[in-house]
Amino acid sequence: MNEIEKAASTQNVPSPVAYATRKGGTSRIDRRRARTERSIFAALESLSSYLPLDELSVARIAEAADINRVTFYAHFRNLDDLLDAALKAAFDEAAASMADSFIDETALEAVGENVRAYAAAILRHRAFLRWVYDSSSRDRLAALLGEGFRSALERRIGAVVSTCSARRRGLFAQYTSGGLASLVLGFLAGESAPSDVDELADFLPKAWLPSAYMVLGIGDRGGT
Amino acid sequence: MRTSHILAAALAAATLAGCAPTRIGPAPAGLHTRVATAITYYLDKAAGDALELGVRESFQMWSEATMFKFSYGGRVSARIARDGRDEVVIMRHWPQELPIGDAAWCQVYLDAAGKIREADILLNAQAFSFTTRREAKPGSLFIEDVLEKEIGRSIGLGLKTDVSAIDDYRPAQPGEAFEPGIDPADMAAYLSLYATDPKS
Repeated sequence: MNEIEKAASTQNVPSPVAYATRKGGTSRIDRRRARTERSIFAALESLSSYLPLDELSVARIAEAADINRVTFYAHFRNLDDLLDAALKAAFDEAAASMADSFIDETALEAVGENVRAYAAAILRHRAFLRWVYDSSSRDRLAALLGEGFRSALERRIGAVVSTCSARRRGLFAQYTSGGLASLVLGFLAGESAPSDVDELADFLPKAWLPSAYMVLGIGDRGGT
Repeated sequence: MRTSHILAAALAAATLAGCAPTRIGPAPAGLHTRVATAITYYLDKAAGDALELGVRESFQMWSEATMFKFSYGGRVSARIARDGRDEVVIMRHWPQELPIGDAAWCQVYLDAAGKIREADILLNAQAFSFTTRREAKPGSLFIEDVLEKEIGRSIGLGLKTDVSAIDDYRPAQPGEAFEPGIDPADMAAYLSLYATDPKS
């Protein structure tokens, strides 16, 4: 821990998440904080596209975000704190992209569209997520991805599917979300096709829907 | 007289064919999907009640997670053969073609188009003992853990291309609480293998 980190820790600077929880308002100071954090996240995304993770430093981020290091430490305790907050922000943004616009849809395809929208939003951050995948946060990334896909699947599935029990729907969402998360992790690791983000986002509902029709008892729409 | 000789020869040929050992080996390279989604499986009559429960729960888990509907057909005199039945066979003598250190093997039978028509799951009872999540006998392998992988293979997921490849299953530890589940990587493989365009 360097001098500035020590100072920050002794002053008990809250993380952005804690700050948002405590404040929750939209005062001018809040907006300024949010703006600065967005610029730091943007700098992080930009650096992740070309910089190896082990070369990441507060100085590099401060330079890229056009702030000084003291400002950085006013927002984040250290690099891990920043990565954690950026990860949460990316997943929050992806969750928000799921899709109340499909509120009138009653077909299972609408739930599949949630999966596609969520995956597309997540994969916009693929360079940063690949960093996270390569770091010790891999398990956390897997858990967040699984939870995100489960949320995408469960959203309104009860309203669309009434032919099977809630337990069965829950089990299906649990197993399928794990599979979808694993597909994305394989993509991030460069281990599995497809190699293109849009192609993957389009593929995921195709992977999910045929099975869903049969597992959830709607009819035979799948199989090869 | 001549007719009876022909009949006798045909009967002998059929008997010998029935006794001929089924060749154990990996499926040809490539992707192989299962044609039927409703599958009845049978269990070796050598299995005890506890093992039967673990086996049935394992198939049930795959039924709940995928489009395949596995139903239990009962205990039979199971053997490795293309006999129209999917069987879980407890092998007191592990086939010499397979490495003795491998706990299980899924033998799939394909049709001319390369689709899986039948699969037998062999359990290596010569070198391993099997337990269930309820019994958790230390030093034994959880049958739910082994079958999670092998049932996946019976529908084409991660079929071995090399008989010498060995799966590493962890023996039960004293007091261990094992929670069965389908590996997300296996679900990913399933979703990929059986994905189709919903509009098609």
